[in-house]
Amino acid sequence: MIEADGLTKQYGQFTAIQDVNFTCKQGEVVGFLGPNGAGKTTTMRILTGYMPPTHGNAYIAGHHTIHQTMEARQRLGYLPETVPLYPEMRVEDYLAFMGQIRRVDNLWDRIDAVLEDVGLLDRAESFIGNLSKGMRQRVGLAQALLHDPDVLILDEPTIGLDPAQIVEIRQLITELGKKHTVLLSTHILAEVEQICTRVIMIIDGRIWADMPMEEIRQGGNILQVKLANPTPDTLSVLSQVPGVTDAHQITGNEFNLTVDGRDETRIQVAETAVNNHWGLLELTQARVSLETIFLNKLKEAEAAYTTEQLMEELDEAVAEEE
Amino acid sequence: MRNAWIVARRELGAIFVQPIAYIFTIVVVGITGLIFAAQLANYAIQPGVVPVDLANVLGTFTFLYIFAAPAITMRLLSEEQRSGTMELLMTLPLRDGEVVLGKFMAAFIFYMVATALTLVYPFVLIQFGNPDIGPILTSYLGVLLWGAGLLAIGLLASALSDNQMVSFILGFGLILVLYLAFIPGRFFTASPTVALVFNELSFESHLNNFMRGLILAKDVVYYLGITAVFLFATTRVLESRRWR
Repeated sequence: MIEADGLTKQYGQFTAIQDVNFTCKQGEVVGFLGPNGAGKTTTMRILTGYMPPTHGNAYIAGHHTIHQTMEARQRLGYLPETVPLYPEMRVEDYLAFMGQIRRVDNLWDRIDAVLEDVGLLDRAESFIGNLSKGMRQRVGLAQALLHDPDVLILDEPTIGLDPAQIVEIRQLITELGKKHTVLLSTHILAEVEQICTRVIMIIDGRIWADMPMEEIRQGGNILQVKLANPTPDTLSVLSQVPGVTDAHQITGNEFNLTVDGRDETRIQVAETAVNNHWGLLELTQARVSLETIFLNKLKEAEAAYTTEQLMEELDEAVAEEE
Repeated sequence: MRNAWIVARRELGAIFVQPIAYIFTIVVVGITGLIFAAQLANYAIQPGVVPVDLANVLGTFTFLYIFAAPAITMRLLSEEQRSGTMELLMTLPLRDGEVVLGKFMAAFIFYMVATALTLVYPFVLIQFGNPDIGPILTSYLGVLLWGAGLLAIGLLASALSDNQMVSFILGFGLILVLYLAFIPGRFFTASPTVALVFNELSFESHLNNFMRGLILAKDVVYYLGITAVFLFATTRVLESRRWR
């Protein structure tokens, strides 16, 4: 229902996102994670048809966001980062305005229904300018839901809400996710663990992870290994231990191994370390939380970036010498 | 067109809570009222010496809209860009042209209301005298066309900046340049053709015929053309905003 196909966006020299690919199906609630400035909002703006990508194509419910932009926009509900409201309007008039443009049938019944969903029925006649931040956020959400769109794109939907409202809105999004396709960005990892069925991580404009929540919930045992004297080949040796699916060097002497969780694997890793005289200091098995995955991916990206930078500097140095 | 009207209707609601548009309208209508009253008083004291002429009143009205038009249009697109609602409009099933047209319609309706307020003066003339109806009607046609042009220029300025004050100054500047376009022609005394070209370019020169009771195609085309060109340019500016 949402398809990003090789999206790249450049602002002059600066590349905001690079070759972003993913597909979100109906019935999925996809959490879009990434540090500030990683390109989440840019990606969302491209998907909504607000701005065209420099390269690549985006589709909403099968409609190209540029070439069939009206069809795509009609099937889309969007809550931007800055909630777009007219403070001089009453809540219901604002929603009526949106509904008229979107040609919603039985508009006033529908307005009542969404206001009830977001818990603002008693403020229907209030001026938007007089509402609190959390209430405005909910008016923005009501606007995105009004026409019962196939695809919902929400940029930080729970920001500014109080804890009780957050729970309500999360329930609402979970409910919506059963029928619709929801892509939401947030900084609250617990929120993603609760309501999302899939996680996409974007760092420095590139996708670093795209995995179903199931995988994070069940699988993902991580073995944290700390060694006194690792050798250069430690990483490759560890990654070849049976039962180890992935290995990363976190710092000079700390390694994170993704393992299947069996005791034999742990014993094997310990024996390998001892036999190689690496000086095993610590061996901890942890269940992977989204937070650790996120932080690990960040470190990975950072490491990749540093390597890239070093290579570039090296190239430059070589070029200068020549 | 239906979408443009929805945008216009929402905007009219907003214009009527916006004090600046009100203030300018009151000031403009107030000043024209004073001029009209002064003419009437003068006529009462010396009947027949100086006739009461509606062209004076409407001339002042149109002149004052050089300032008032950009004040009406300055917030129309600037405010949407500043507050982030532009992102909403541009992701609704709404064409950029429909947004621009809707904004223009709202501003023009507001202008028509202000113009309608001045209908009091010809009404007074008809009640107490025997004015020539023809020039009054053509004058009002001219006033409306004039306003359409000014508002379209102001709208372009509003699209160019997300700061209302900048939009106002920009709009006022653009209007002034067009208004005073006849001046360079004054220096081409050797070539009447060049002078004529500058004169025809000038926003001001096309109003006189309407005031004298003449509807000339070139005048109508000029104002409609200016309106169309600037509305088109405004649409393109909005489109180009997407690429940034």
